[in-house]
Amino acid sequence: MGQYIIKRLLLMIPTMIGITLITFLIIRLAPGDPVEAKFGAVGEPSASGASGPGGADKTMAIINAKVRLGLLQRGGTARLWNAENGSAVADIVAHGDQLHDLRYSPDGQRIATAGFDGEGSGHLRLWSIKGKRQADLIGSTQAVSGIAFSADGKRLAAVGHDRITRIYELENASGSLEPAFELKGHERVVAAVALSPNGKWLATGSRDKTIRLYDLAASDGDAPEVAQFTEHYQEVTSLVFLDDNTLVSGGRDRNVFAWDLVSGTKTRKLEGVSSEVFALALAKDGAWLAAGLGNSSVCLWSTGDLSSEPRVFSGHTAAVTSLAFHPTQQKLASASKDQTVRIWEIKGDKSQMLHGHSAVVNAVDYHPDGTQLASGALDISKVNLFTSYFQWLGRLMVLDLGRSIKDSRPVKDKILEALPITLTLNLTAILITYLLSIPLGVYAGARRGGPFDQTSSVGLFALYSMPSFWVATMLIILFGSERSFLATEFGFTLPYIGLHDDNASRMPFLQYMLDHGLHLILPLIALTYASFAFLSRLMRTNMLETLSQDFIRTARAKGLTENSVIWKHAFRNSLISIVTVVGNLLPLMIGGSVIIEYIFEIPGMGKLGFDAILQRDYPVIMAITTLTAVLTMVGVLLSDILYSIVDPRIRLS
Amino acid sequence: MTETENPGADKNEVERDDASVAADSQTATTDPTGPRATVPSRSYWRIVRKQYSRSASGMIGLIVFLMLVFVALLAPLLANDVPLIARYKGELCFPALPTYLDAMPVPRKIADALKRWQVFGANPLSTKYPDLVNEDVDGQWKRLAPSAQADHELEIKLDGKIFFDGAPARLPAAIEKLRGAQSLHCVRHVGRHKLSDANRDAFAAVRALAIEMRVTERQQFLEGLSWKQAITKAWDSDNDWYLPPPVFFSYKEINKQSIKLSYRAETNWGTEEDPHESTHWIGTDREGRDVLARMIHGTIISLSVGVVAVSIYCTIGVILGLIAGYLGGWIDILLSRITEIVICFPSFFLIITVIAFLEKSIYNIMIVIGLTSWTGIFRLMRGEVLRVKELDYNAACRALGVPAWRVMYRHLLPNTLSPILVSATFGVASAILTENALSFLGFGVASPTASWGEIVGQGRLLVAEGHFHLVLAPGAAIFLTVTVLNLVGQSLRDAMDPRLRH
Repeated sequence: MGQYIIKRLLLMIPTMIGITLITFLIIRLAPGDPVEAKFGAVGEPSASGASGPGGADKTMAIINAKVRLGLLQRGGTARLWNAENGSAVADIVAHGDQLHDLRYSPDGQRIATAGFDGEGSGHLRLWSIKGKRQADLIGSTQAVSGIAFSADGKRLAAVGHDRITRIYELENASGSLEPAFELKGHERVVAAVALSPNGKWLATGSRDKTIRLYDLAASDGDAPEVAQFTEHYQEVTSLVFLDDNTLVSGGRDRNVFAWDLVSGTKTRKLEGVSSEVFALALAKDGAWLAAGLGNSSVCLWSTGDLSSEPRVFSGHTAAVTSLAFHPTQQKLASASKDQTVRIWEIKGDKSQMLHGHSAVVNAVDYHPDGTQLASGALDISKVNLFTSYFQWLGRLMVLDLGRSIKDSRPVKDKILEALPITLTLNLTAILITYLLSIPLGVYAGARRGGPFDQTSSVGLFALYSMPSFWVATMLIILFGSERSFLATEFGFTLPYIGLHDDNASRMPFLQYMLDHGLHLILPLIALTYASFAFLSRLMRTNMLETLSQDFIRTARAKGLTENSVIWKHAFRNSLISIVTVVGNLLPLMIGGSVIIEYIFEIPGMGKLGFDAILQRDYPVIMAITTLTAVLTMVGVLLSDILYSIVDPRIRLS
Repeated sequence: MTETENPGADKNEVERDDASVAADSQTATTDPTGPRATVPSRSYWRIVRKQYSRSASGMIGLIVFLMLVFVALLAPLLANDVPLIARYKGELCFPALPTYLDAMPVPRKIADALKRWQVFGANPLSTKYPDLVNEDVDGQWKRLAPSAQADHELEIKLDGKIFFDGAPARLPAAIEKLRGAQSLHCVRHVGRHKLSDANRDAFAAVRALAIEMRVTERQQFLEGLSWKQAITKAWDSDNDWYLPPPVFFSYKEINKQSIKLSYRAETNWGTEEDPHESTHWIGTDREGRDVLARMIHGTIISLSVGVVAVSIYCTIGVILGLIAGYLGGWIDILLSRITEIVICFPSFFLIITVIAFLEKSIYNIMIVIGLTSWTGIFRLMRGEVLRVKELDYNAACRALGVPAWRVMYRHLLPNTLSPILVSATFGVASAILTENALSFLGFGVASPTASWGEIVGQGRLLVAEGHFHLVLAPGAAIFLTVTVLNLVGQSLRDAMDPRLRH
């Protein structure tokens, strides 16, 4: 017995895989896109003017929803380009979720990437320029938003969402590297960091609107905060050192300020900045200063003449997020939210566009020898059908059914809400069915050909052929409607919508139960009648079969009373197949009846599934289909086992 | 009864003449009252036929079922908004005939092909039919396989001569010529590529013109009136006459003036003085469409879905069952495992899911039901084959070196068909139930096509207001059809295997 069950359970595994595969394929290959339908079509001008920033938000929301569904995957990708001809050389999938910043080390041997890696701790990583991971710089538990190498390449400063600035010593970095020391002080997310060329000053800019300056060359190893600049009135997004004593800062408040570190005062406000500043970059020899703006343009100043109007490069279609100068000062690369990187010629007016990223490009940097360019983005890619199937299967194994597309609630919660309702309804229905049909079948079978048998046969046959949706609607007409027979004769109707009256929550307990019971009457009849007809006919047939067997003749020959023959001998033996039908009822009990629950508006499993189909709520549909299929399998096994228990003549093999 | 005691023994006679068995198996179900052989024959199917004809309920069921088939086949002639025959302005015409194919669930390509046939389309009399605007002009357009000679994409023949060969610049002149043409024949050379933009415009223009020409023709005859309007307003009662169909409403005709949500709504299209009055026997639905006409048309949908879906899944089940049962081995294991997987799915839920993703179409319903319900037939067939396979004549076949496909096709198939036939009869009933349940839930046929379940579904919304004519009658029709099919199935089963009778 135990062996048999184990064998059957093992046989279930390929069936399970087949079931999940088919469910998955049906859902995945279905035409139309429910996620986009939910958020409304993208790219079409809508009444609310969704083409503007709302459009971008919507795109992001759709992407997020699809990532949750496992349709898309995203990862912070650093893409390496050949700087000469603009062809992609290699991709480094650097972080699981977001990539905020990347830098080449000054010696050109490494790339550091900063971003967010989901729940892990790899928010800051060092790679060889071939794309091989060299070290994880640990410490931060949240996203790292900005990094800066010192000029000698020995130190790396990183800032991020946890408001702490960390300094790493990079000599012999491998494995996971703890920060050498940490600097605290900012009150909100730190967005920018810069190290002065001589390595003495470290500046950080934050969303708390301040710039803080630390002295790394202080005597006793720790780096005291030496100054705080507070004239920005919004987030400081970028910092760059013009020389050892001059710091330039850009902020969302549309200001670019220059600060003199010796005196600790603002020396200049750069003109010509018409939008939020997202990026600043300084050419290697200090001849040019560039700023990337939110209005998708790039401003370029000559550092010799900072008071003049800047030269403006325009061409991007969304905000510029990062800038980098070619070492020869001939070219300027800019990364933008329009998913492209552009390379501008400073002296000429040509520009080159690098396509390939599928989302906002957050960072760009030139290799120190100018041959290579790296850009970093949160890339969105379609999940391979196979991979996503196995991902879904994996989640299914740990009973993670995902979240509904419609209201983002966990599918498990929704099912657990609907399940008790369906279970109550169906268990009651099955109980009633058995209680009614067994005596009826026995009685009809025992008096074969009698008037009761004949009338009940015709009646059951008719019941069996009635479509359930028609019966349910007719029940409402006859007993539920305001103008029904019950209403006109007795002034009383049976409720037929939902499980409770609207004001049920205020009812006393007994009235509540009565109300509940009244609501259940019509659905129960509609659920019961068909299986009642089926079971009664089955019972009658079984009874007839048993009665025609030899042991009944023996019993009668012994002179047993007819009652004893029927109830003790025939009845017990004819129960066998009736009992085993219980196994087949299992999926029905859980799955519920779509039609009945739809007509009577009962929020059970059937209604849940029906609504999910209407709304194309894929996770719910997949969960219900898989659940019911599994229950069917279990039900078949159960009825086989029951069979052998009830009828010892049958051996499991 | 004596000759039916042991039908199993008679089965061996079957392969004496396989051909007659195949013929008999078709007539056995549809024509049990046919002439009996004068010489007593002991063929299995003859016995079945004889047994069947003894069952009163079976015979009643069969007769009612045949009547339903009859209604379905003649539906467009039973309920239509144009007369069956009319004599108007001195011309005799049959306006209902061209509407026949439009109302039947015939795939478009077949319908187009049939319309070239006299009765359905090109009949000079039937072109006087007012609804020609709806008629598909594509019927006149012929797709050709790409040929080496065709250096132009589009070619239009006017009265037999080519006058447009795909040069867009010549199109305006060509269209002018087209007006007043007697016959128009367009050939569209469809190569691997699509039509160029200019020629696509040309195609659309010519098409539009063709429709326009037909409208003009119609207006000349009926002067822009529909047949009902013509009968009411422009009728010359001395010379003109017409024969209306029994229900003088079509299933999609909207009678806004006489929406009456109860039985026996009054006439709609006649005025007060109008003698040609008609009545909605079962009322109208909310949009004012006659319920009886829609029920008559619903018969087509229900029966065709039932029969086609069951044919699809019987074909799948029988073929797979034969292969699995006869060949055995890993093929059997594989097929049985696949069947197990399909069985596990909640079938109705699966069908709704798939149907909801596809566009509303009767063919999709047929195919989806067909593709999801074959497992029962497969298991039945496999079991039967396993049983029959062990019989002596199969050993004889193997000894004679008969190839496997021939054994399966000539010997196993005829000897295993009887339980399949019974199962298929019940299957038609349940497929009809499924189709109507789908339509009830709103996943069925696309409007304005009528389905019983869809009418009940509409009626459900009116139940609170006390109107139940939309529920009662179509539901009763479903009930009748399903009962009748169950009766036939039951009697057939009893006739085929009397041991099962209780």
